[in-house]
Amino acid sequence: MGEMLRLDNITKSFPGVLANDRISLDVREGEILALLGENGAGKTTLMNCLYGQLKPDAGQIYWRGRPMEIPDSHAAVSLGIGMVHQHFMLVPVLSVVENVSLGLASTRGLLLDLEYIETRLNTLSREFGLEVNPRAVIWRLPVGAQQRVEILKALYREIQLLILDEPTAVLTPGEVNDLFAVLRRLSARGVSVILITHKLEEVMAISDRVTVLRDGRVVETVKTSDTTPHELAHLMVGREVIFDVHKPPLKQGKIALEVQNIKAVGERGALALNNISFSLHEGEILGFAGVDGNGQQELEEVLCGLRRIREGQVFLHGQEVSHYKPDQLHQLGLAHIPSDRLDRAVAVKLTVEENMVASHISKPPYSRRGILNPKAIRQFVQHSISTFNIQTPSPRAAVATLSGGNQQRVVLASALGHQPRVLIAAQPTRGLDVGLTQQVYERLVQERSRGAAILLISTELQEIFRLSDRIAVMYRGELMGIAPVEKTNVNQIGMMMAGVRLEQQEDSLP
Amino acid sequence: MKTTFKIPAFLRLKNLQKTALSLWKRLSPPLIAVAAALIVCGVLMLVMNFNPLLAYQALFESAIGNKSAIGTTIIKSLPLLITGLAVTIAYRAEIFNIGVEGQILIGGIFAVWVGTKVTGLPPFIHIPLCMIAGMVGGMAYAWLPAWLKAKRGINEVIVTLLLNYMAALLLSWVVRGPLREPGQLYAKTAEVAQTARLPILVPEMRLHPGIFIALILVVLCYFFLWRTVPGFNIRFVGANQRAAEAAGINVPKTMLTSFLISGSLAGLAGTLHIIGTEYRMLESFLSGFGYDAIAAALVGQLHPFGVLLGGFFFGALRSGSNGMQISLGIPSTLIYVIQALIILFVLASYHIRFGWRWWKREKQMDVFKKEIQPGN
Ligand SMILES: Nc1ncnc2c1ncn2[C@@H]1O[C@H](COP(=O)(O)OP(=O)(O)OP(=O)(O)O)[C@@H](O)[C@H]1O
Ligand SMILES: [Mg+2]
Repeated sequence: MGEMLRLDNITKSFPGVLANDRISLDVREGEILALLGENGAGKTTLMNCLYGQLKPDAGQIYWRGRPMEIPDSHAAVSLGIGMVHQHFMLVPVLSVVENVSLGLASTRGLLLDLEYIETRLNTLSREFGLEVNPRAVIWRLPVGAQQRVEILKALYREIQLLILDEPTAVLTPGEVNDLFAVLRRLSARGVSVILITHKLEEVMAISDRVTVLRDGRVVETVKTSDTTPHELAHLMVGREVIFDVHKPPLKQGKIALEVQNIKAVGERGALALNNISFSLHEGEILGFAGVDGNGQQELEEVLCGLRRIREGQVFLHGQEVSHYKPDQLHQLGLAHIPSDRLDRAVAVKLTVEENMVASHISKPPYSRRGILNPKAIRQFVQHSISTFNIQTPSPRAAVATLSGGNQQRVVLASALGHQPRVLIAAQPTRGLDVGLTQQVYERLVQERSRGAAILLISTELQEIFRLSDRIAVMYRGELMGIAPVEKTNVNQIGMMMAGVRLEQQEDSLP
Repeated sequence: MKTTFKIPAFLRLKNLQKTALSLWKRLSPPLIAVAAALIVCGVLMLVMNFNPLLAYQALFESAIGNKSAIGTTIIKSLPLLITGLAVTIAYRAEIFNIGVEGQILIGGIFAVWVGTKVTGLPPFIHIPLCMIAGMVGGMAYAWLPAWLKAKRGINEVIVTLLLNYMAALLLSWVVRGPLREPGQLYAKTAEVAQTARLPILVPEMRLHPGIFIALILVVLCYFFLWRTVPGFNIRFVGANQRAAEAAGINVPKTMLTSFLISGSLAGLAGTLHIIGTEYRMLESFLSGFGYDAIAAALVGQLHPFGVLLGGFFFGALRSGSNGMQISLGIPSTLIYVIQALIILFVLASYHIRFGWRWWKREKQMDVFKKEIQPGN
């Protein structure tokens, strides 16, 4: 295998942060290289340097042995480098074909050549098993499909190196398998892949070699077959990581949240929640598993006052709150970790400080009679920054300048900062590194011990099984059943995720 | 006991450097844009056979060369400045209130009405009453687009643009009809009562207390946006509406608030110009000032203190252009060219780096192609 790409002593600093410190690595032809590192280790920054979106302060990029300068992403693409970003870069109102066509020179001069692109896209998607309808409009597609579009967009440009920045964070296990199948096919054709992920099992499953970064430096590059997840975690964090959550026995309290026969309509106009009923007790974690797009997001929105309920009722501590606004729910002690960070959780243009206090701003001590109290705000923020170990040059830095995982920490700090009585946690560890994921698990269990009622929505079965006291599964907007964690197993949950109700399963069990 | 002397944090060298750097970062785009616009316009003048240096000297002198010039500049700046604040407050909630142009006029009409028809009040009641009337007028005229935007999601730009035409027509009817000064050849309203007029502080500059009101408004605006809950909400809604909603901020109410405050400020700008300077309305009352104020706000980077500078700058251009025309015969419309260029350059200055990168890429690609092609 020949060398395709070599980075030599790449250095990149931002005001107050040295994000990449003399990083050297190489990628061979047809190789899948995993890039591993804690939140803020500098992975995205390095890839942006490679993709021409950032200019390294020092260092040299060699492409097929030649020193290259990559001043922008067009240059990267014309060299044969494609990148799928941590946050997708598609135009939501355009169709798949139109998105692919952006930035391409048309064969027909000024006229768009969409038919041609469409036929080529169809061949490509058949070839690689990337199933997408080329005419679909982006915003109507689920995340998994949007990601396939991003990959198709790169493939269309005949790339030789594909960079994927945390592609699996938003995918369900099935979708991850599909993605990996595509990556293997690519690698068989000599296309190299740089894959960023926080999930060690994935690294072990797909990569040929792993480069581990810590604090902007390369710690080591190892062959995947010569290492173990534990060793990788150790390299990444610099100390032993314990993969176990101690969960004290369940001390179920009163009913905190009760949902009765609710129906709600989703973004695409169809019935997304159909007759859902359940109750959530104090001191309990109720996990909602299931493939994304089966009503979880709508449930999250309904419970947080962000989506109208068509029928049915919701009670919070016995009080009917079916049509309450988000701020009224916050008053009653409800907190929310939104599943889509950039959509609902943070305003990236504003500062860390402002984002952290946004949902508490109208209450004392953060404001009195409408006047902000900077001292109280500063105090809360300083405290949260140290509790959640948020890496930011200052509380006044814009959230946009934080790494993905650190942005998620800001969201967590805001939601957990005030001892919520009911917590709606949707994908709480999305984009977090192993160390912090562990910390968040511990924190959620602490909140549970304190008596908080937690509704956990997650596409990660492991997470669901580790944390939940009871596991619920939704399929096409209907509840397939709720099972106590000690009386169920992955198979049973899997069946429910495929649409078989719990009762039916028990019937068929011997 | 030993007393330790501590230098305040902001005076330490490192922080000073930091402040200077960030100040330069903020100030440089508009400054560079202004310089570039002046140069391009200078070339234009050369082509038109005028001496640009003389022209700019004339511009400078008649803008701030003597007391009365400074007075004129300030008087022209005030409406720009206050309206610029109006634009800023709306823009922070991601609302583009082009309607300030019309809101100025409606506010003015309300103020003239109270100033001429209501009589027998002492000044300390009549003046505030006029100001309130003007603000109410501006706010009322912003209400329709505000409501449509907040509750129905209808684009404010189109609505306010149409309303601006309506406001101009309304004014030309008012000066001919209901508020017309009887027995006059030209259509204009009567002058507001003596009791409704702001005192003149410095006669040779025609300076009135409006300048203090404007300066206070700048500070208030800053305080409002960064130190109060509604201001915080406005900025959050402007930065990410959906996240604001999830954080429990009442998005429609916030939009309505910011739009209405914006309208009332524009109304106040018109009012102060009437009760401080003109005392009446003509058909051409502050025509185009709303649009200029948008420019001033953009050049001031939509920050109250920036708007302060932007407002005075555009005021100076306006008052200097007359001097340029009188002394050298250069058409004062050329000033509009300068203004337009400045705006273009300010917007472009955010993208200048882009052009540089493009150039570098093309160069490298050429080299790359030359190297690769023969080998293949
Ligand atoms: N535009 C920027 N301005 C200032 N600092 C930045 C900017 N982008 C990144 N940083 C800083 O550089 C460091 C590395 O960030 P980077 O996004 O590369 O991390 P990462 O390894 O991708 O982390 P994550 O796993 O959380 O996505 C962080 O400390 C971040 O705050
Ligand atoms: Mg990243």
